[in-house]
Amino acid sequence: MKNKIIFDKEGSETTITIYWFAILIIVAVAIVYMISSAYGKPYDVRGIEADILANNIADCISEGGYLREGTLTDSSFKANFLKQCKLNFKVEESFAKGNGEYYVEVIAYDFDTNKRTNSDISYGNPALRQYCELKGKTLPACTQKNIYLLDSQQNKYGVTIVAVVNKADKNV
Amino acid sequence: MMINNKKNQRFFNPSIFPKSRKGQIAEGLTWVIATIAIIIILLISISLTTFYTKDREIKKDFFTDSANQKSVLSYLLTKEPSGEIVYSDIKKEGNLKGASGDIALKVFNGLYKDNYQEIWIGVSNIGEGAISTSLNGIKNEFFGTKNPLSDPSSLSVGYTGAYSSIIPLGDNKFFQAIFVRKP
Repeated sequence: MKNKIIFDKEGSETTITIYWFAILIIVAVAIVYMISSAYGKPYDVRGIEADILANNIADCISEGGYLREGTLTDSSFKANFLKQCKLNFKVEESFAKGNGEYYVEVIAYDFDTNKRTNSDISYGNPALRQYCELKGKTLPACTQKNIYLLDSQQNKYGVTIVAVVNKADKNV
Repeated sequence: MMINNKKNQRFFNPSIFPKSRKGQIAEGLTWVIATIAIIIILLISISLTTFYTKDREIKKDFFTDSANQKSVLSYLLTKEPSGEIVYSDIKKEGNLKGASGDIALKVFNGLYKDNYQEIWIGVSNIGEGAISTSLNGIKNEFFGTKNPLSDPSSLSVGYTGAYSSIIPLGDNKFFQAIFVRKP
């Protein structure tokens, strides 16, 4: 009788120990799963990156509501576009692919007549431009901004800025 | 001996409780309910985490429309046929009238109508809102009445998914351009 009581006691202790280990393991697995689902994959920031890129170009070509002098109406601006606008299209070597991961396009036209001026600028990988019409998680992020600008002689311009960022390997 | 026994007992050891049959059932039930509660809490946490981390694309609300500010400034600096700039005309008239309204329609509806659900350009007065001071829009013949619920500058409304550009005109009046994003 005495032995049975001791045996029962030991049995219930073992059961409870196993139960607590099982609960501990379930909780640990759940925490690991939650953390890995929250931080395991990268955030897709390409949309924001394309927006910031387009905003920087807008800041570069305009100042205080006027078209910045020596930009769209100046032929040397086109040649030194990246330097003038303080842009850097280099990416980490491990993510660099083909002809580049960025593309920007600046199209200026007369606001009243819609006639394009001869100051269009495009830089980067032009193959990325075609994806602007398409939508998909792994496709490059594309943004387009339209702005209205004046030059110092009160000439009115419409400017369309297109920025495309690929970098799918890093963000998706 | 008694003291030593108690000292060596573990906290969860059931032998520290006196056991009747009813007591055993109650205790067993407690364990079952505790287990179910733990599993439910874990399942809720996992589903919440999965729900909130499903879309890993960061929304670009805060950057999207800031370039519109450039169009707003250029619009206000545009010379009307009379030779006066739009800003001075609006300041003098206290609202969009004549050429200032026509140019606003051409610039803002022309460039942004397809991208936004609602665009309102006009003049607002500082006034008392439901909770705090707010900008009360003055109706104009070009963009109509301002929808107070779409004005992100109103503290009582909070986040509206809209971008607002505000330029002071003096006498508690402000030129305001509101761009409400499509859902």
